[in-house]
Amino acid sequence: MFDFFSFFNRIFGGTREDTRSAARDRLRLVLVSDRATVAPHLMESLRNELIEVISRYMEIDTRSMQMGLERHEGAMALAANIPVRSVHRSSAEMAAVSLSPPPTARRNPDPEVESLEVPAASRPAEAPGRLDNSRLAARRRTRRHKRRA
Amino acid sequence: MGKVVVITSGKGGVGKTTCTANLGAGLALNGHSVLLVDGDIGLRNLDLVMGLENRIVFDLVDVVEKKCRTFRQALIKDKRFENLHLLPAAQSRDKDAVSPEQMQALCAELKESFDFVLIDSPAGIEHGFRNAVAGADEAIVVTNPEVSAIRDADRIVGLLEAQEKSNPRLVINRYKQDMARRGQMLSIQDVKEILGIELLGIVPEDEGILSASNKGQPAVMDRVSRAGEAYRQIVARLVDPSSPPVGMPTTDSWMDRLRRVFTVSVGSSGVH
Ligand SMILES: Nc1ncnc2c1ncn2[C@@H]1O[C@H](COP(=O)(O)OP(=O)(O)OP(=O)(O)O)[C@@H](O)[C@H]1O
Ligand SMILES: [Mg+2]
Repeated sequence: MFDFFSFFNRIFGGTREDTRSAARDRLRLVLVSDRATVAPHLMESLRNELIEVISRYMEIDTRSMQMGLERHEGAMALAANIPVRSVHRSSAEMAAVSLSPPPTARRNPDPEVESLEVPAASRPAEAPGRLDNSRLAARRRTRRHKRRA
Repeated sequence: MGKVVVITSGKGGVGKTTCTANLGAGLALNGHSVLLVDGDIGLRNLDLVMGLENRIVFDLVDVVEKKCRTFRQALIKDKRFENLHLLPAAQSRDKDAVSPEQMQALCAELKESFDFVLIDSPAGIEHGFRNAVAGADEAIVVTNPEVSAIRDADRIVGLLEAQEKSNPRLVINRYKQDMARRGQMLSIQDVKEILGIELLGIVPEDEGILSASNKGQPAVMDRVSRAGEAYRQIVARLVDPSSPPVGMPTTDSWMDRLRRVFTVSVGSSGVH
C-alpha cells in the first residue's frame, strides 16, 4: 500500500533527524582514544620525545608530569601537564632574538613550579593518516598546574 | 603460484561468509581456480552458504593433524564450477586445535595449487582471527555502515598493520542508499575517511542475499541481483586493480521501482 504519511513527510518533512553526522562525529572521537589505548607504546614514545624536545629549553619534572587524551566537548585533546623547574638561560636569550614576541602567558600562581599545558586539537578537519590523530597543536597556552600530593 | 586472501571484520555477522562465498563463485565464474577455506572452526557455515554441506568427510583440522593423506582428500568439489573447491572447518573442535604457524605452512602449500585461496575468518580478534590471517598475503575487511562495525573494523586494520599485512581493502556491506541520501546513515565517504583504507567495493542491502543462502547458491550467480552485481565488480577489481574504481551503487531505475511496487502488491495480497 502506498504510504501517504511517509510520502508527505519526505516531501515536506525534514523533521527526520540527521543521525549521520552524529555517527560520524562520535566514531571519530572514539577512534582517537581507541587507537591510542590499544597502542600503549604510542603514548610512551610520544611522551619520551616530548621530554626530549622540551628539555632542550627548560628543566622539567618528568616524574610528576602527566599526559593523556581528554575529551573536551566535541573534541579530543592531548593534555600534558608538565611542571617546569627552570628555563635554560641560553635558550631564553636565543628565543628572544629569533622569535617575535611570545604569546602572552599568564603567570602561574604557584611560586615553585610553573606548568606547561599543551592542548592539542583533536581531529584536523581533513582526513588524517593513521596514528597521527593526536598531533600537537601549534597553539600553546599556560594553565594552572594542579599539584598532586 | 596464487595468493591467499583473508576476509575478516572484527564484528560478527557483517557478511564475511557471504562475501567469501560470492567472491569465490565470482572468481570461479571468471575461470580462476579457487579454494575456499572455512576458518571458522567450531562454527562451520561456508559449506551451507555454498550449498556443499552434504559431502564433508574430512576438514581443516584433519588436514593439519594429517588424518588424511593430503589436503586434496578433504576438499569438496563444487557441483557448478569444476575450478572451485571448499576446505570445510571442523565442527566439533576448538579454534586452538590449529596454530598460526600450522596455518601459515598450510596456506603456503595450498597456494601452489590454486590461483586464489580465500579464507573466511571468524569474528573477533583472538586465536581464530590470528589463525585466519597468519598465512594471508592480502586482507579484505568487511564492515557495515554502522558505528560498532566500523569501530571493530578499525581495530582489525590496526592488528593487520601490526602483523605487516599491509594495505587491507574495505568492503562496505548492507549499504542502504536511500537512508544515506536522507542523512540517516554514514555515507561511503564518511566510512572511507574514518577508516582511511582503500575501498574495494560497496554491496547494497539486498533481500536476494537471504534467498541465495536459502538455496545455497551465491547471489553473484544471479544476473539480476544488485548485491550480485556488486560482487561481480569486486571480483573484477580483485583480478585487475586497474578496473574502474568503486563508484556509488547505481541508483534505482524507474523500472526497478516499478518492479518493487509489483512485488510488494503481490506479496501483500497473499499470492505466492
Ligand atoms: N548485502 C546483504 N543484504 C542483506 N543481507 C545480508 C547481506 N550480507 C549479508 N547478509 C545477511 O547477514 C547475515 C550474516 O551474514 P554472514 O553469515 O555472511 O556474516 P558473517 O560476518 O560471516 O557472520 P559471523 O561473524 O557469524 O561469521 C546473514 O543472514 C546474511 O544473509
Ligand atoms: Mg561467518
